Amino acid sequence: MIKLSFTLNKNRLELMVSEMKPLSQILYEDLQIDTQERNCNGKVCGNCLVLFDKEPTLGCLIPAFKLQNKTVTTFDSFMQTAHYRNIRRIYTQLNIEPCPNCYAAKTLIFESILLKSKTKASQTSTLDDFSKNFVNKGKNIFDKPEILAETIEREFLISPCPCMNSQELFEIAIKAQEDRIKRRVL
Amino acid sequence: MFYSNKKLISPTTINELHAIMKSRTNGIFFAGGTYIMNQQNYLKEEDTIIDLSNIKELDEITRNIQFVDVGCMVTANKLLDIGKLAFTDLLLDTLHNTATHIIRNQITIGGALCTPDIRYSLPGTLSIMNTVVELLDLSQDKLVSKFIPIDKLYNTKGELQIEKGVLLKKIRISLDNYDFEKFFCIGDPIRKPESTLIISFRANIDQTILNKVNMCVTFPTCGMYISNEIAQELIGAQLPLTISRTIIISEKITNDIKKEITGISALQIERCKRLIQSILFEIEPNQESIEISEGLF
Ligand SMILES: Cc1cc2nc3c(=O)[nH]c(=O)nc-3n(C[C@H](O)[C@H](O)[C@H](O)COP(=O)(O)OP(=O)(O)OC[C@H]3O[C@@H](n4cnc5c(N)ncnc54)[C@H](O)[C@@H]3O)c2cc1C
Ligand code: FES
Repeated sequence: MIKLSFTLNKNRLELMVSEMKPLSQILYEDLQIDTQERNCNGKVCGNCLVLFDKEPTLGCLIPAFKLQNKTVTTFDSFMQTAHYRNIRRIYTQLNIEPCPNCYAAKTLIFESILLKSKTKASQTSTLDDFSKNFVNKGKNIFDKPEILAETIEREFLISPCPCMNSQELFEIAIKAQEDRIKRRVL
Repeated sequence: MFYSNKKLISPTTINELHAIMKSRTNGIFFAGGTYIMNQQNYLKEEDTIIDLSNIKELDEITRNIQFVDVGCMVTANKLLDIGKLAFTDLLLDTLHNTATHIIRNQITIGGALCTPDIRYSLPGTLSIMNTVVELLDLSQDKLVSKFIPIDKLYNTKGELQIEKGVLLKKIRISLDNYDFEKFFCIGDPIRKPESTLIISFRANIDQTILNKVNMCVTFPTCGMYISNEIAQELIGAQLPLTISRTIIISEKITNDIKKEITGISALQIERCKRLIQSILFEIEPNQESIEISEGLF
């Protein structure tokens, strides 16, 4: 057993659990959070997604010992943030949204895509150090944070519920990105 | 349950890791955990989890003009981000094709190469890029390190051939440039790995002549095929290849695959044949080298 200390939805917690118990099961069995999937046994349903140190992560792939001093945000808590309100606004504007079965999973995947496009835009300076010894092949992908249709399709492979088509997923991602830039949701 | 009490050790240096592993035959390396956490019966009661994430040395990337050394704990996303200005499209396409961004944040290079029973795209692509791996035998009193070509890690069934207690410390990716590269992944590797087919291909072209060919075909649950003989046969071929030549070569390769690897479906074989034909048919004379040589006279 391991004595864990971590932050869940802004509350500091201490807990004794088995080292390898998955986060998704800790949330359900030890913390009585029953809004998320516990374990789909490798079916990759995506319904256990949480923010783990701000990064969208599958809770069933995180063992307890990795939680030490980390921050976990479940979807219920994510719903209180400006990032969620941005995505929600676009669902309303376009009158398209994921079905209740995968609403949390798909919304957190949008969050992952939007976070990734933001970091890409701000990465140039840190990468220069590494790249200075290489021939620049003219591939400066950091000029603008691009969201590509094929990327969107791939990212949603971990939420296989067919309630939305690729065109809809793409449209939401693009519009949410524009909205974040316009409203300076950082 | 598979997660019932397990002993966990988190060394912070290779020496510490060595001291732990020397006295223990049941240590299981834990890298990103995306494979281990998905397996119901993988961990045994007596296993000790050896968490590699606190050993800084294993998370380093270093480079010179000829190669890049990548520590086993570097994640697929980190390699993709840093590699964008260093690697050619073959490796970048392969990394992009690996799972999704969310999972790539967790998948490590060591873990991707050391899953016991399933092979995805990375081993095949790295094999044809002349990558070598550094293995550390931690079970001996003295720390023994050796470099071997990456394809020697597996048998033709794609099964991992390294002993328990041997750590894949880093990989060394050579930075040679090739004129023609292709990467294909057909099927759904996440949900249907048994029907997926992956081809990594690269060739060098000297004006209108093929002078180097490397190809690996991966069937995730059945094995990997690297054809040195057929690649050898293609050297010196005049470009563009004729349709009949591409058909003959693709049939030779698929017949060879059927002989060497068992369990592949007829559909995978047919797709493989057609993909190889289309790749070979696409290789064109190297206009740049023709222009350079014309300029010389
Ligand atoms: C939903 C999903 C989809 C995926 N899709 C793909 C895909 O499309 N393509 C792809 O390539 N991969 C894919 N993967 C990842 C792949 O299946 C493995 O899970 C992953 O490569 C393992 O890496 P890891 O770092 O998580 O390793 P771990 O799970 O920590 O370890 C895997 C194995 O390697 C051993 N090991 C780890 N590091 C070392 C080392 N340095 N030396 C010796 N042994 C070591 C461990 O003991 C264990 O046996 C997917 C995974 C998931 C969960
Ligand atoms: S419970 Fe984690 S992917 Fe389904």
